[in-house]
Amino acid sequence: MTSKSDTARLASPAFAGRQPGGWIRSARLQTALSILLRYVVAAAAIVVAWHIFSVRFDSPVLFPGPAKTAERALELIAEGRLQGDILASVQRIFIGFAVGSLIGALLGLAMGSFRMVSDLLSPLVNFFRFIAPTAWIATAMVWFGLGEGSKVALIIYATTFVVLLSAMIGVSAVSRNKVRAARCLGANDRQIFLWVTIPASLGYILTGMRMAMMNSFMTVVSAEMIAADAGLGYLIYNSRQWMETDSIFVGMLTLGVVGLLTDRLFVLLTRTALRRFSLL
Amino acid sequence: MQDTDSYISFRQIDFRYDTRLGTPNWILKGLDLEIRRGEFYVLLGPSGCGKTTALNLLAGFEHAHGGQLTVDGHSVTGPGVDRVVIFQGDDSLYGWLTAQENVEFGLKMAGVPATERRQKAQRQLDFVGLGQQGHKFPSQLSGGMKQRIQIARALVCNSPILLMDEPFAALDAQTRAILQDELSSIQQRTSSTVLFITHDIGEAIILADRIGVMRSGPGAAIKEEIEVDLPRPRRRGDPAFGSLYDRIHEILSEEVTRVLRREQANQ
Amino acid sequence: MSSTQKKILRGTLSVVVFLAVWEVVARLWFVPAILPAPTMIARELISYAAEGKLGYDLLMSGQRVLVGFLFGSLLGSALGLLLGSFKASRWLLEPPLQFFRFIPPIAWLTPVLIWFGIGENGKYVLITYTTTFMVMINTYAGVVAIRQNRLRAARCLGANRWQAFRYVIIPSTLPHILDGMQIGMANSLQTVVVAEMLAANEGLGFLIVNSRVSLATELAYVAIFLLGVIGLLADSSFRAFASRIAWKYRLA
Repeated sequence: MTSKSDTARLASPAFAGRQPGGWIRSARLQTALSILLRYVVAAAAIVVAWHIFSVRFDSPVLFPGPAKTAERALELIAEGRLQGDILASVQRIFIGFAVGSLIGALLGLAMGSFRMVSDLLSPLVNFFRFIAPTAWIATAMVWFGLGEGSKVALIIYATTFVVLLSAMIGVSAVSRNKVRAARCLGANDRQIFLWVTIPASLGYILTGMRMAMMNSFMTVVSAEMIAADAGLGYLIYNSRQWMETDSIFVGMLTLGVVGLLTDRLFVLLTRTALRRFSLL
Repeated sequence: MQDTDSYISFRQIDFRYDTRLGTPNWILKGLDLEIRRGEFYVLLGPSGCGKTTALNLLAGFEHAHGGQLTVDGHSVTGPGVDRVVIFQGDDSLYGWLTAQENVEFGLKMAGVPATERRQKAQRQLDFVGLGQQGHKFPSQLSGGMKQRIQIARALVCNSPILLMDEPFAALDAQTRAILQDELSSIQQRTSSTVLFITHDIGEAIILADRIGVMRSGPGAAIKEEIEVDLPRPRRRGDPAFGSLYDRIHEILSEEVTRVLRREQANQ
Repeated sequence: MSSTQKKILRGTLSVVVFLAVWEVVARLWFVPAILPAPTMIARELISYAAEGKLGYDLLMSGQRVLVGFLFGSLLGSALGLLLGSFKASRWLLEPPLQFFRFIPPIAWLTPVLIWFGIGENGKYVLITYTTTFMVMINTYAGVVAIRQNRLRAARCLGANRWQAFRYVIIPSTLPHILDGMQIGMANSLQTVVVAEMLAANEGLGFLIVNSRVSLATELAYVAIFLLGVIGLLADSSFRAFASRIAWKYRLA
């Protein structure tokens, strides 16, 4: 997230000339490098602060420093545990996210476009959207068992509501003149829904999907903390029993990294494949 | 004017908004307006006098509360491809479609096959001067070009009537002048019937065969109609242009002052 | 029939049909431990409330959320305003913010439990963190998004740095702070529920989890229902409050 002035400054030909090793000429490359630099500097600063704090605190069990955490991370990777946990969490999210996005988008588009649908479904949607997915964990376990099913169900639930609301907002944001123009040009209601409403709302739906992705991480971690035998949430919470705070930190950091990467990946994919539709 | 000449006909048109308190706000009352086939009619008036409402009624976006509105003898019941609107600004264009695809839209809705669509659209793009820009997206085009897309989009459907609601208001002065001249020549070539709304007197004189100056509301109607006999292409520096401008300006000023006085009184 | 009347009619109809279908399906095909009927849930709600226990659980959950929420809002907005106002801190701050927002607040429960134990303090800390983070992110975004011309106008008119902060930055950021608080409230509610499921002996989250163990499933549904009601009330009252206070601060 560089500011506009940074980008402009870096992209100007004058600045390009003064870059050390003048082969770095492309403006995009420069922006990318500057972002990378920022992350590296910020990460370094945090690691240093963390290290100082942990040394001061002087209790490797209660508050391990970066070195100890890194060591533990390598151990977990060697054991294959970390990869297994990552895979377990990501898998659950993926399926739930895909299904939930589809349902949420369709329902939201329908609710936004057809008053009958909105009138019928709104009271139910407006109540259930305030019930966090994790409130249903006990129910989900009873209905779907202790395995993947319950977690995926919760993620579908979480994703559906977020995407549904975004889709509804997207539809309401479609400029009236777009619909009017379509009517002038001979489109009937079905054609307007298909060729105007859906493409025009797609940007909002994608934004909603991005938020739902983040929400899904939150949900899956909660669900895994309560009832699972693999996954990042499980890793984090379970390590408490053995006072393995370093494992806890590894789990949390991994969560951050995986979450950040999936988010960036999502933006990248949608930006290239769906450039004409996205607001991202 | 004889009835047989009339193509578009507003007879005693009333239109109101119901305010929350229940009292009706009459936008138009007893509006009479006849437009001939192939005529370029400009509706001129101060802001908020109901000219856009008149256009919306003809477009079929709203329904009149009283009176008769007919096109070629048939009542207007809803929007149709015979009366395409060209909107102010660019929010009626589809940003996810290229210029070409935007122009093709009406044909696509009518089920015209793709190759035929593409040919017709390209022809219209050439006609409005966007022949090389068809593959670009609206966001990559200037304001003037975007308005041309709208015109092409209407013409490709062979729309006999063009409804234009201050289409050039959002453009800079130079682009506006260029588009005015181009629109005038396009209309001469296609013989379209045009209802054009503006509050700019100069624009009205450049474009119109006839100008209707509207009374300010509430309950607006046409105050006075002026035939514009100046030969085309019209030049803004012409003395005839200037004297007509003064004449219309006087008529219009009365209404503008009335609006101002009413706003001050409301405070 | 007007469209509003139609809306109310259809809405009521759909809720009634939903409850009716649920009632029938539950009674005919399921045992209460798996799917209790709405009437059973309602009955349990009344009896548990009559015993006075429901009030206690509500109070505990509410207390945890409220303390964390209020404190977190203050802290978050202060931090956001401070850090957003200086170019240096902006540059350094954004990457960590972007990273930490992907660590769900609930993940912090585990270290918090180790550091603060199972008592109330840990929960207050957790909720405070949840709210602080969300409010801070939004406030920060709000400061960054302030229109240049507002600050320039102030400078033309002779405002010094402190005056600009107080009379331009703070009012401009207010709607963002309120947005952050609204989301923070919802997140805090979610977080407190999960925290109670894992490490508490009272509260709505505890009810949900405990009822499964003791097969008193109706009670779990009572808690879920109340969560929905609370969420709905909190959101709409917050929205009403925000629109009354903040409407003139919204971007003109």
